[in-house]
Amino acid sequence: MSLFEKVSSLLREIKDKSDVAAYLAYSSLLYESKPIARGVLRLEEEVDELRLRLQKILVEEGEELGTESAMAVMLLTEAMERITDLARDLALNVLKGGEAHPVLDLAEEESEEQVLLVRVTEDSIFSGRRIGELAFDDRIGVRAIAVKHRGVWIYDPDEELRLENGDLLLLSGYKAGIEVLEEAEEEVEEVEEV
Amino acid sequence: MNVKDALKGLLDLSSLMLDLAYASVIHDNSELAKQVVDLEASINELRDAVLVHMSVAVRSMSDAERSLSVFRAADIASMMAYEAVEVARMVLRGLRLHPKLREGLMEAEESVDIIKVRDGSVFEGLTIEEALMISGVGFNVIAIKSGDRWIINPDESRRIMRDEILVVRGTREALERLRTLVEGDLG
Repeated sequence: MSLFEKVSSLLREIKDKSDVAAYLAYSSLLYESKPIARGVLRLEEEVDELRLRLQKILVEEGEELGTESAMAVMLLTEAMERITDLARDLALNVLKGGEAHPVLDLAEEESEEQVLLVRVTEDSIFSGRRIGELAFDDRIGVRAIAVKHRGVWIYDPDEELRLENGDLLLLSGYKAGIEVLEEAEEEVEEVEEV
Repeated sequence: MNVKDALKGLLDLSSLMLDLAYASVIHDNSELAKQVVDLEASINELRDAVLVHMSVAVRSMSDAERSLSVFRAADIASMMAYEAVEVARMVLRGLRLHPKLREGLMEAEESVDIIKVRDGSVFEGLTIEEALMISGVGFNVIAIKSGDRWIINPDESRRIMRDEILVVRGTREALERLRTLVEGDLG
């Protein structure tokens, strides 16, 4: 892998993770969800590690990259790192507990709640279906908190929204329901628990 | 506007600004960067709206304690937006990434592209919604430049006109398809 490839792939990874961290942090607040908040903490650690790897490369091979480029990469990385830190602060706030003002009362009470982030792929049971059609609410008690549809996160998605390949679904539900879903989606590549 | 709308607006705008700022870096586009810097004023307005509404809603000590998380969220969302502004300023100062790095960043699964609607493009005269339908791929138009005017986060009913510039977010596959459709020359 060339130096440019190495640097841009690390930068891409940091960008992706900091995006997801920011989004999950907001969700953890809006839904008062500790599992989501813990997911943010994990992402923040990952971003930290990636940043160190990238900075090591910049120190060792920055010259080859060009001073201006190396500086730009450094500034970008720092900005994304600070964004992830802000996400972590928000998540920590949620983890510390404390009742939120009813103004944020978007979600129902959640006790043994778990969260699952699923990428919709061709073979996924979600592919091509409407949010409302999923009918998981009755069967296993899972609901779509949010969906990243066409590159943009949508909170509390409309029932009519049709899922497309590449969409990212953030589901929440009771432990049992999430387990059923995890099994059903086993063949799908990118299922991760948050 | 109520608190929830203001807070949601704040969160949405701050993530939109991060996308726009990132697009201005990978396409080395200072005009777009300038837009991000200008959006800082809207962020401040929205943050103030949240603070004002919350202050009015607080009637007791326990109310005040419970509103802390809203204040913090508003704070953090605005600080994230300021990071977007920092990134945009970097572009305005002329600090550039090596073209090979920018190319590498565009290879992400998901990215932001800047596409000009050429004469004879199939998109000409269509609304964003219609364009989405005929393209067969998913994408999101996050800004349009029409003449000297910028429209941030345009409505899906907005018509796409010739010579306009679209800032589009989507998967790599969708963006590639879009490029051929929008830049497509029938002549």
